[in-house]
Amino acid sequence: MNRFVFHGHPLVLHPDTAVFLEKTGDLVVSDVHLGKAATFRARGIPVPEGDAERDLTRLVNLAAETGARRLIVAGDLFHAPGGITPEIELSVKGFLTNLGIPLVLVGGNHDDKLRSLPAGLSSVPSFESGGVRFVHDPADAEGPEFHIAGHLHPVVRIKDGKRTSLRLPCFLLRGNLLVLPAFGSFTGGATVDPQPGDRAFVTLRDRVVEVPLTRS
Amino acid sequence: MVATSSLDLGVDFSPVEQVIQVGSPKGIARLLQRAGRSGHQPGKPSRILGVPTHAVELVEFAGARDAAEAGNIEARVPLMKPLDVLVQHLVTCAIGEPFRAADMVREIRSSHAYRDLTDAEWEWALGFITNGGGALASYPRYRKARVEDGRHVVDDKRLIQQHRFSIGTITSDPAVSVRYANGRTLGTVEESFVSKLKPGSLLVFGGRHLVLVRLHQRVATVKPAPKGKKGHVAIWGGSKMPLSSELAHAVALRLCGDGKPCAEMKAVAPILAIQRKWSRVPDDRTLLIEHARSREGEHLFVYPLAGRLVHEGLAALMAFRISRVSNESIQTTQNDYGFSLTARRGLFLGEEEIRSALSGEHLLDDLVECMNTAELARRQFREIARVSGLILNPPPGRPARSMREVQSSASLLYEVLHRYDPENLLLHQSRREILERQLELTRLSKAVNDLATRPLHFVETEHLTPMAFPLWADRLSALLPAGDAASRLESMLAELNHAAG
Repeated sequence: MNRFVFHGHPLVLHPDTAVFLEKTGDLVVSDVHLGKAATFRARGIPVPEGDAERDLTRLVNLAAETGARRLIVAGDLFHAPGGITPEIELSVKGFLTNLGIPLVLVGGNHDDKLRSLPAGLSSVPSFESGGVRFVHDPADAEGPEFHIAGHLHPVVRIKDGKRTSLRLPCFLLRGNLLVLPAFGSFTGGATVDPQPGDRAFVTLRDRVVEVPLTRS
Repeated sequence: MVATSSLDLGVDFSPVEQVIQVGSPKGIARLLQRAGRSGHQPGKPSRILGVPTHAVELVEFAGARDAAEAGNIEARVPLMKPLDVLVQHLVTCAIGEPFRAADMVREIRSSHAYRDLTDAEWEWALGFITNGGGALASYPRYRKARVEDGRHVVDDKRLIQQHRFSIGTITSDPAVSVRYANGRTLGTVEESFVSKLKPGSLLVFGGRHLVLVRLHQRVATVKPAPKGKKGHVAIWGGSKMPLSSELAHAVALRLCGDGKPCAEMKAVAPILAIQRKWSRVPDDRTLLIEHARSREGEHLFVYPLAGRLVHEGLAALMAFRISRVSNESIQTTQNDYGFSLTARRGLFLGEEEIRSALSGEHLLDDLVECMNTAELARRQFREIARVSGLILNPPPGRPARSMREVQSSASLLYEVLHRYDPENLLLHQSRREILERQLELTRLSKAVNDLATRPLHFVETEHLTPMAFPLWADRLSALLPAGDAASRLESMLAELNHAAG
């Protein structure tokens, strides 16, 4: 279920907004934005905590469920320097232990604002594995190979009535580039401006289905 | 001078001789307030000329004049316990001068809106500005106000500046300035409107036909459109006011034939004569229901004369209750006079069925179920989030880069609070306000009780009557479809598959 082959790469689009690459055993997510709520609170906006723990648990569960051999985060694991609280650092430490597989972090624009990453983490500007290249910003996707990126938080708008529409986070396939939806629970999205040839996939309960893109 | 409602209040131009009101004022107080912009001097008469935009508005103007002469003006219902305003006010006070909680709560309770503020609500409000979620659910590392020598104080410079930019309760969309490439500014337009346009789109602005060249950092660059092209007309939100109860009643009296003869009623007489001949003229002592058949199926037109918002609620309620029995999908529309239901079959109803579809039993439960109140409350939360300081207004001019990391949408905040702090009183406020403001629950339950006592006239009509036609013509789907996102998506995909083959 939810198996697709893009540019010769068999992969699973997971309904919990992740991609699993079968050949290499890589699990890929993007834009987790840990510490976003804490950033808000540090600036005097009362937002409850909860998402960081929840999102890290989702990642551990995904790794176990797919049997992944490595986790790749395609950027923006963290939100901002103000969000790196001792609580978050503790959660991340526990997460790395529970995860039990290596983690590769492709540095995103938000991660790069941090003076240093929490202990046990380091980032690379881009990563390559099994003929797939991982970057954060789709603008950095150069070359003929298949790319997986994040950054955009793509959301698709689907009309379902004369005056109503749904906004759903989506996987966006554009040429040889697959853009992942934001993984973090406390993240917004930007509506995709479709280009000819684009394809979009959204979560529908426990499935991932392709939806038609219409130019508005 | 041409103006929207922005010149209703507090603006005095003494040389104005007459106000021209285009379209119904929808309320008696509004009509008088607008009229009062002319002859704005002691002893001088005010003049207002009404220009109806369709025939039935003639009756609204006649009714409005009757009610104004009789002094039946709408009462202003004060807000009850708006907690978003309270928390904003507390921060404002703490910035000005540190306050003692006991003194402050005494002062707050002396105002009408907060006279019934409970201790628990007060504690929550203090908690919201000091530790986030009250005593039991304090948020880690959050602080706006702190307590020093028993007084609440806000002394962080950045927070003070941030708060000052957000003071006030009038929330509006960010504005975008509209300019020619040579820099000449034509005016400003709401971002929500212009952001829907693509470069190359045509728009009408300030009476000019324009092409959007680009939208960049709150500046929309435009150029004149080629001749003969038509474009979108900017429509500002909030233009659809419902008829007030008082004016609806005055209109009903006129429709009954009460009142002195006047030019307006004479002008509209031929149309009312057709209505009378084909059906009856609706009023608010009886309940007129017309039934008609067309190629689409059956139509039911119901005329409670209770105002558009109440009709929207009644239409959803009746459709929901009928479809529960008939299993047919029912389309609804409404205006200030009544509402319509359209279905393939199953609308030729007896009095008992109609009475039970409009009964007050389980009113709130059924409404909550059929009106998608969860989605409505999420929308209402936008305003509450801005007033209470959960969403920050970017400082004037260019939005600062550092603001970007604390930007979020109201619906995202609503979800996070809903998930991790469901007892947050701002969520309760948005649910309460949606019932009162959007559904006008008080007025709706009054209407339901009143309808139960009115004699019912069920008329089978051969043609659409003059009162039915606007309802029939406005057959847009109900504003909010029922169901969660997954089931909506499923039905949309099913429809696509069906269409494909």
